[in-house]
This record gives sequence, structure tokens and C-alpha cells, in this order.
Amino acid sequence: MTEKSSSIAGLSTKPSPDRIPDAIDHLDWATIAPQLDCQGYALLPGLLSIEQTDTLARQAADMGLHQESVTGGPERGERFILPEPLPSPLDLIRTHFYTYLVRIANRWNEVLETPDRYPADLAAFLDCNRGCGQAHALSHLNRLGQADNLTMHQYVAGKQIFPLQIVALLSEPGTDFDGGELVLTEQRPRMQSRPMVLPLRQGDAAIIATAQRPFKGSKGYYRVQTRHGVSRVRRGERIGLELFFHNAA
Amino acid sequence: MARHGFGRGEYKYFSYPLPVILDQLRHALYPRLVPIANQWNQQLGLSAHYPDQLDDFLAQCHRAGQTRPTPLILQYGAGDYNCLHQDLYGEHVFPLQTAILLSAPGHDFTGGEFVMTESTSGGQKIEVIPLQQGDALIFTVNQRPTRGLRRGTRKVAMRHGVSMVHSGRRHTVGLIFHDAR
Repeated sequence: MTEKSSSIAGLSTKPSPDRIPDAIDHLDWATIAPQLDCQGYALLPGLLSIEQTDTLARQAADMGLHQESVTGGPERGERFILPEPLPSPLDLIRTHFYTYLVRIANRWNEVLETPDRYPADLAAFLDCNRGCGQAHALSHLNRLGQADNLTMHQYVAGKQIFPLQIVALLSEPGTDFDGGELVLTEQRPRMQSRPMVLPLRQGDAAIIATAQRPFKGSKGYYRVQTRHGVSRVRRGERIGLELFFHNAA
Repeated sequence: MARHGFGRGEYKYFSYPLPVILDQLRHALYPRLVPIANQWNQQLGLSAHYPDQLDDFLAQCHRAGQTRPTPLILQYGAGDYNCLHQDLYGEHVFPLQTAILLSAPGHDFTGGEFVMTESTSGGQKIEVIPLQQGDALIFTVNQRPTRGLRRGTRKVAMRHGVSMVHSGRRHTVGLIFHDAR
């Protein structure tokens, strides 16, 4: 999974946005779904082309997007909330991924015996969100400079939380920056947390659990909590993308 | 390891006498770390004062029933990982410890990053420590003082672990200064 050889690696040479639905259709969903069940994440090497990551990174600087400090405390990273509708190709990526991820999300709710089911398409789900007061868009770019980090977090403001989200890296580790690893922790009841470092390169993405997910133990399913954060950037500048399917209250 | 919910992988504690190189490292590192450890305890308002030499500290551990050696060797293969934890083995705790990576990342194994978390009331910060073969790391066992947000000192709790090894084999040695009950 660390090699850029998966079925969508072709995206890197075909950056045209209209290829994206096709590329998502051709992902190895038979492998991705069990990976999400077992590990809480699945890597998507080369989801974005270098050209696309560069364009998005420039937008962070040029668009005068709503900018805010990422977290309280000593971190100095910046977050740029993306406008709705999302810039291309993120709009296509989000609507098309949703149609696949909603099946996993509903299955997770089923095994956790949560009565809620997510509607089949993203527009309907976002309507539900707005209907219950979740009106604030969450998808954003974050820019971390030297010594910045993102503390472990979850975006769970609101009642309707979609249990999966997409993260992507827009800068190249080792060239644009050092450090700045994307780390997930998985907290299980009465057990120590499991750390996971996701090996991302520029243009790589991952589907990750937003917060809660079911985990099959020896006595049936239980809930594990996933958080994600970014370790300290030791040198340079790291730009990351977080795409959400739900809004915040 | 899996049985305890600590993760997956194999580990083995050394018995006394320790292999010469580890015994030498443990004895040579300890006196260098004592001033830091004593300063931390003072800043954290802890009364424990560490003696200048390792043998005197180990004698304290042994009198308190902590007689089993803690230095260990760990082996992780593909799919193995170590949950975030603190190596506490009794009342006597030396607040710094060492890990030495024996394998070459990218060559002998992939994945298997050394991860630390630092928890304060303000949240949980994550660190990934880039080690190469032969590199050692001195790190906090459980807590350390840090500058307060406005003034004074506050306490941060630290844990360490290893993310999943994706391929190959990763070996490390852990040098802990206190002994175990």
C-alpha cells in the first residue's frame, strides 16, 4: 500500500477531473472496505495529481479563504475553510466517494445497533444536516510551518456525524517539509490506544474513521474512538486537506 | 503481548548479568541523566531524589522489592505494533529511559515508527521520532515538567508506542533504569 501502484495511480498522469468518478469506481473496494473495518483507514495512493495538489495549495494562499488558527495552545498552524460548492476536483471526489462510503457507514450503524441510516446521496445528507442546525462547512486545507503541529482531534460538532472522512497531503515529505506525519490513534474500551502512522506522499489520500467505528472483538462488536493529528513539522511547510461529508453545528 | 491488549509483537527481558554493552550503557547514561531527573522532580514537587550512581539507585529499587531487570529486546514483524503506554514497574521510577533501534528502516522493515504522545489539559500532541539503525533516543517515562501557559510549571504526561510494522522485522533494545517488581 505504500507504493504508488494502486488502481488509481493512473490519476497522476490523467489529472482531468472528469476521470475521477471513473477512477473511484475502479478502486479496489473489496479490499478497502475490510481495511476500514480492521484498521479504521485505507490509503488511496495518487488520488490527486501533483498538478492538482499544487493548484489547491496555491488556492490556500490566493483565495483569501476564511482563515483561522487551528487549535488553542501553542500550535500556530492555519486552517482555510473551503467554500461551498467545493473547488474542482474536490466536489466530484466528495460526492462520488460518498456513494461508496455510505454503504460502509450504514453497515457500521447496523452492527453498532444505531438506528440512523444515511441517505444514498450526499446532497440529501447535507440537507438533513442543515435541517438539524449543522450549517457550517468543515472541509478545509491546513498549513503547518516549522514547529507547528495538529493536536489529536475529531470533528464531531453536531448530531449527524458521517463516520468516515478523507484526508490528503498536498506537499511532498522530505522535499517540502520534514516531520509532519499524519497519525491516527484508536482508543478501545479498557485498553491502551493504538497509534498508526499513515505513509502519505504528495497527492496521496486516505479514507479515515472520523470518530467512532465498530470493531469486532471476541465478544461481538464494540465501539472504538479514532482521533487524528499531525506530528511537529521539523522543517518547511506542510499543506494538508481534510474533506468532510457532514457539516458542523 | 496481544493477550494483555498492549499490541502485537515479541519481547524478552534480559536477566542479570546484562550483556556487557547494555550494562555499560546503562551505567554510563544514568549519571548524565540524574541531574535532569532531579531537577524534574523538584519542579514537579516530587520528593524523590536520585543518587548519583546507578548501583545506588538499583539498591533502592531492590530494597523495595523491585529486583527484576527491565532492559529488554523487542521484535516486531509485519502486522505487529505497540500501544501507547508507560513503562512503570513499581513505586521507584526513574523518569527517563532509552530505546535503541537495531534495524534499518526502509531496508529491514517499513512502518514501525516510534510514536509519543504528550497530554496536557490543552490536548494531546503527537510526535513521530525519526530513528535510523543504531540511533538511540532518550525519552520521558511518564511525566515531565514544562513551562506553564502563563507562568510557572505544568505537568505533561507522556506515552510511547510503535505504529504497525508493514513489512520486514524491526528490533529494538529498551534500557529502563528502574527495576521491576
